[in-house]
Amino acid sequence: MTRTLAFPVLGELSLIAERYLRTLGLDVIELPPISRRTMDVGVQNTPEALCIPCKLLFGNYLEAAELGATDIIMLGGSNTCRLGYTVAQHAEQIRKMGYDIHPRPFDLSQPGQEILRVTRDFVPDKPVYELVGPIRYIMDLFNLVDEARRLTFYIRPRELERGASDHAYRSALEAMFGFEDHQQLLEKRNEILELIWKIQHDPERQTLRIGVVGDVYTILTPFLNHKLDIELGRMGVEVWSGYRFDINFAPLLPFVLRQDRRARVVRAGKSYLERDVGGFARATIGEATVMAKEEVDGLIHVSPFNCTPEMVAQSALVKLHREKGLPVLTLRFDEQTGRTGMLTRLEAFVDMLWAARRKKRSSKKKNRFP
Amino acid sequence: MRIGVPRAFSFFRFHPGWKAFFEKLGAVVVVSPLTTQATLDAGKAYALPEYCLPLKLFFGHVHSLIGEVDALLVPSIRRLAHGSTNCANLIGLPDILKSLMPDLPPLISPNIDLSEGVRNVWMMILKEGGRFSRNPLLIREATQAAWADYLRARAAMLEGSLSPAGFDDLDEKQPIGNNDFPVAVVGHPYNLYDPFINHNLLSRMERLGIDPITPERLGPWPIPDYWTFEYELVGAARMALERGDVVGCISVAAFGCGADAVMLEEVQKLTTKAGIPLMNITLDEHSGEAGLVTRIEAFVDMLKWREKADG
Repeated sequence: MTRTLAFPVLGELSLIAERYLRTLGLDVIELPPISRRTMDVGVQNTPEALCIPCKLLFGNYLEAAELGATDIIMLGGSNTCRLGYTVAQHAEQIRKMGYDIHPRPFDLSQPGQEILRVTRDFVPDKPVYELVGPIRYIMDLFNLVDEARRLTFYIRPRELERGASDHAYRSALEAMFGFEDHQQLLEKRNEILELIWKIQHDPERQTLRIGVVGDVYTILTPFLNHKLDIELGRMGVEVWSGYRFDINFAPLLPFVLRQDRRARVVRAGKSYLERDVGGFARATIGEATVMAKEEVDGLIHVSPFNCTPEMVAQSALVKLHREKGLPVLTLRFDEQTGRTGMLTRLEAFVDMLWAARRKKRSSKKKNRFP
Repeated sequence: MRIGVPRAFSFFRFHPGWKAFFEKLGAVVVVSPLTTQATLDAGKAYALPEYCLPLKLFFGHVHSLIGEVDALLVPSIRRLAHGSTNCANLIGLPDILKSLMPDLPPLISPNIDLSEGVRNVWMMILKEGGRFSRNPLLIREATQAAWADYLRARAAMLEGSLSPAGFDDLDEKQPIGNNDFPVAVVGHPYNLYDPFINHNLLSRMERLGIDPITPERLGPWPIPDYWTFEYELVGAARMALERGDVVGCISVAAFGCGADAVMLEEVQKLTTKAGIPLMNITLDEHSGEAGLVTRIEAFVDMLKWREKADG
C-alpha cells in the first residue's frame, strides 16, 4: 500500500515537517499556501460558530485530499481545546465529500514528543540508528529557522531599503531547505545567516520592542494575522515572537533543574494559571511574563475570535497588566477581520508606546539630576 | 462558617450534593439571590467583554456574595469521565475569578477530575473537607449524605417533581404540568433554568400548551464522549428523539460557547435524520425578549399545524 502524507500549512513549521517526512523516505504532498479559496471551503463546510483556525485547517485538509493525500496529519490532540474534537468531525466531513483519508492527530502542545511518536507510527520497522540522522537534521533545521527568524525580526525595523529583509529571509529559507543532511547544514549555517546579516541596516536606530503572544496558529499564519510581524517591523518595532522553534536537549533534564527559557515560561505560566485549561493559555501567559522581564515595551495578544483558552489567558494578562503596568493590545482575528482596521490599531498602539518611553526617559533624567 | 454558592453554572447540577456535604460538616450554605439586571450589570463590570453570558452572570453572582460569606465555592470541573474534557472557562473558573476580581473571600476550589481513580477523588474530598473537620469519618459521612441527596434530587428530577430552579428547597414538590404536546428543549441547565438568561423560556412554553422535555427529565445520562457536559445537548436530544412522541426540538446555547459551537451540528444531524423541526436559540445579553417570544410562538404554531396536517 502506498501512502501519501500531507501536513497542513502552518508557517515555517509545515516546511520543516514536510522536509522531515521526506527524509524518512515517505511520500509527502506539498500544499499550496492558504488562499481565499482555502478559507471559503472551510467556512462553507464547518459549523458557523467554529473558530477560524479550525475552518482554515479544514480547508487545508480538503485541499490535501483533492491533491491525493491518503494520510493527513491533523493538528489537535486528545485533550486540547475544540481542535481536538474537530479532528474526528473534519475527517468525517471529508469522507462524506468522497475522499478516502485517514486522520493522523498531532498534538501541537508537545512538538518534541509528538515528532517521535509520529515517526514510530509511520516508519515502525526502520531501525533506530537510521532515525538519528533525520532527527538531528530537523533539530538543526528548527534551530536555524529560529535564528533566521529572530535575526529578521532584529533587522527589519533597522533596514535602510524597505522590504529587503523579507526578501533575504525568503532566500535564507530556500537555501536552508536545499540541503539534505545536517552535516552540510552546519557547514553552511553562517553563510545562510549572512544572507540576512549583510542587508544594509542602521544599528543605531531607535526601535521599540513588542512581544507578540497568543495562539500559535494565529502567530504563524500570515494569511490570518495580515502579516502582523512585517507590518510591525515596518513601523520600527522589533518583534519578540511568542512562538520559538528552537529545540534542544534540555527537556531530558529533570524539570526542577532546568533554567532555560522554556522552563521559565512553564513556571511563569503555572504561577498565573494554576490549572491547565487546554490550548495554549498557559504558554501565552508564561511567555508574556518572561517577556515582561526581558523589558518589552508592550505586548500584543493575538488569538482567533471566540477561542476559549485564550480568553482564560486574557484574564491572566489583565492581572499581569495590573501588577506590572505593561500595556497589552488584544487583537482578535476571524474571517471578517480587515487589514486596515488592524493597522490603525497597531499604529495607535505604537504611538502610545513611544509616548510612554519618552515619558519614562524624561522622568529617569529627572531622577538622575535632581 | 458561611459558604457562598453562586447561582450559576454547576449550581444547577450539583447543588443538592454540595448543600448536604457542607451542612453535615457544620457550615451554613448561602446561595446568591435570583438573577436580575443588576446581577448582569455587576458582572459586566468585572468580566471581559467576550465572555459568554452565563460567565458574566457568574461574576455578578459572586459580586452579590462578597461581604456576606466567609468562603466561596468555585469548583474547577475538568472531567467527569475518562477521555473527556471541559470548556476552558469552566476548568479555569477559579483562576479567571482570582485574576479579574479583587478582594475575594477565600475560595473553596476543588479540582474535580473523576478519571483519576477513586483514591484521588477521596484525597480531594478529604483535602477540601479538612478545612471544616479533622475527623475523616465525619467527612466520609458527609460525602455519603451528599451522594444520597444528589441521587434523590436526580430521581425527583427524572420524575418531573423537581427542577434545578427549585434547588433552594428540595422538599417542596413542584406541580407536574399536564400538557400533552412534548417538545424537547436541550441545553445546559444554567441556560435552561435561569429565567433571566432565557426570558422565561420554560414557563412561556408551558403557557403555550407545551410539555418541555428537558435533559433533566431524561435518563439515564450517557457517559460523556469528548466534552464532559455536552451530553446535556446531544445525548438529551438523542434520548428525547428515542422516546418517539416528541414533535419538535429547541436547542438553547449561549453565544460564544466553545463546546456548543461544534455540538449543535450534531443535534442538527440527529433531528434532520428523525425528520423533526429544530430551532436554535442563541443567548447573549443583547437578545431582546420580544424577538424571542415571536420566534417561540411561530415555532409552536408551526408544530401544531404540522401535527394537524399529519392527522
